[in-house]
Amino acid sequence: MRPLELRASAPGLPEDLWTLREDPLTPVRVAVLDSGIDATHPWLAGRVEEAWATEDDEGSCSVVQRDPSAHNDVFGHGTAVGSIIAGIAPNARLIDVRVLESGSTGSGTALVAGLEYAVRRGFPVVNMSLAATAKFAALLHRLVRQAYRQGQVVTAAKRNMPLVDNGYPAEFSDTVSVDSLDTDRLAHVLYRPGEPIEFAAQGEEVRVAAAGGGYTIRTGTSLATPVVSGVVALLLGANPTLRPFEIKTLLKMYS
Amino acid sequence: MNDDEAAAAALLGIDAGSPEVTVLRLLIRLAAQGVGAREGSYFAFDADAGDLVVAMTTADAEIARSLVGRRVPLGDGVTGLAAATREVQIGAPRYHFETDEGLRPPPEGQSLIAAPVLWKDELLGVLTAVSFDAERRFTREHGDLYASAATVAALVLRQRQRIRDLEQALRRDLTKRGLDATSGDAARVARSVGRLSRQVRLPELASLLETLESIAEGPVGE
Repeated sequence: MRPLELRASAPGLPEDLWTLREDPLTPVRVAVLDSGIDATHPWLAGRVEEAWATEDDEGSCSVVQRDPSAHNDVFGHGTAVGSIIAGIAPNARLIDVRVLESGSTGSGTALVAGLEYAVRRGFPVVNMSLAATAKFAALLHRLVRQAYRQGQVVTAAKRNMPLVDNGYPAEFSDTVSVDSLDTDRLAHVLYRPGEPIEFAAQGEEVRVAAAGGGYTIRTGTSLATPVVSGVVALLLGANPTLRPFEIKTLLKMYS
Repeated sequence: MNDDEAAAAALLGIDAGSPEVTVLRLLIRLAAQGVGAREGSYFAFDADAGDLVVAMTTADAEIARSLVGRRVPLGDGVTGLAAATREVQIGAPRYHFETDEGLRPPPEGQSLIAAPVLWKDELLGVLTAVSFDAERRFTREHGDLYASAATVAALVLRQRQRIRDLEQALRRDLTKRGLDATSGDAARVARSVGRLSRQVRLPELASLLETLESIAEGPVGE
């Protein structure tokens, strides 16, 4: 697998994606469906615009509002993911949507409820560094298809564990599916033609914010996915009218 | 069998001294060696308490005695995160910021792999490996190896549970028919079924069960 060479950029966009960060960019809301975000962390302070959490309500899931300036992370995973997006895209406004609960083993029902909320609200970018099993495939497919038609970009992590599938919703072409890559170039996105998981980004030994303060080092597709979300936020910040298929084309070009 | 082995078997929910305990211990050791880790462990998931408990470890005996039985909440650290997300997690402990001087370079520290042991949608536990070597950081390839080891661990644990469930079901059935399921022929039949279930698939065992049952009922009728 070799990275494609940089090609000439589309009219109106710079050749080097990284230089986008120096331009005035439109703020872009990025929903992070995860374990919550520690908004008190120095790397994330002031970057979380809204905070929500799914709650089990007699067999169904409701979405309740939380304090966006508080430590809302139950596991540390969402803080790590959010810190990557915030680090790459200075224009990203994080929407914390907690779909993992302390003491639980990650309900697919909560993930579906969180995605349903993000799609209903129309957040331009939805980061899903989590993968659900095939049991939830039909529900997730309906939602990501709706998101695509509404012009939302859903980035989805490939499952780290080699099971019978790559995880859902990463399996769906309506998403920007992401695998992990070992590279020293942060924000480098690799396009993989013909592969079910179309893109790959840095996901090995990534330095991320640790919930509660400090930092830690993590490896996995969970960390590669927010790299792509951050890049997408930069692209949308430069041109908010871009549609999902155009975003994919640009990612391929910049690969 | 020593106290540690008995404790491990109790935590695993499988019979102490069963071949599966030995296989699991070997698997943990091989997986740890395969990634060059210093230690490997298996955390059993305690569904009632909602946390993970160290059931088995390759650490030396003195450390093992303090580790076995230790509990980790779901979501806590890399191990708890693997259980909560049902995904392989590779990470390190938290490093703290230097005050006013930016980030402190990572000290010599640990790298950790945690792979959830899943049977279909059911979480059985987490398989872990830890390195204390600053030069030894685990990669995605190491994570893949651990994910495969976790799959094998699930098969081993689930098989033991299925055999036990089958033996218990047979004992209940024999008892209901007025046979003493704890001694004599009935007990031998129950044990035979357990051994046989390792060798044959359950649908083929059905007719064999009928034959064994008639053998067990024979002495009572006389």
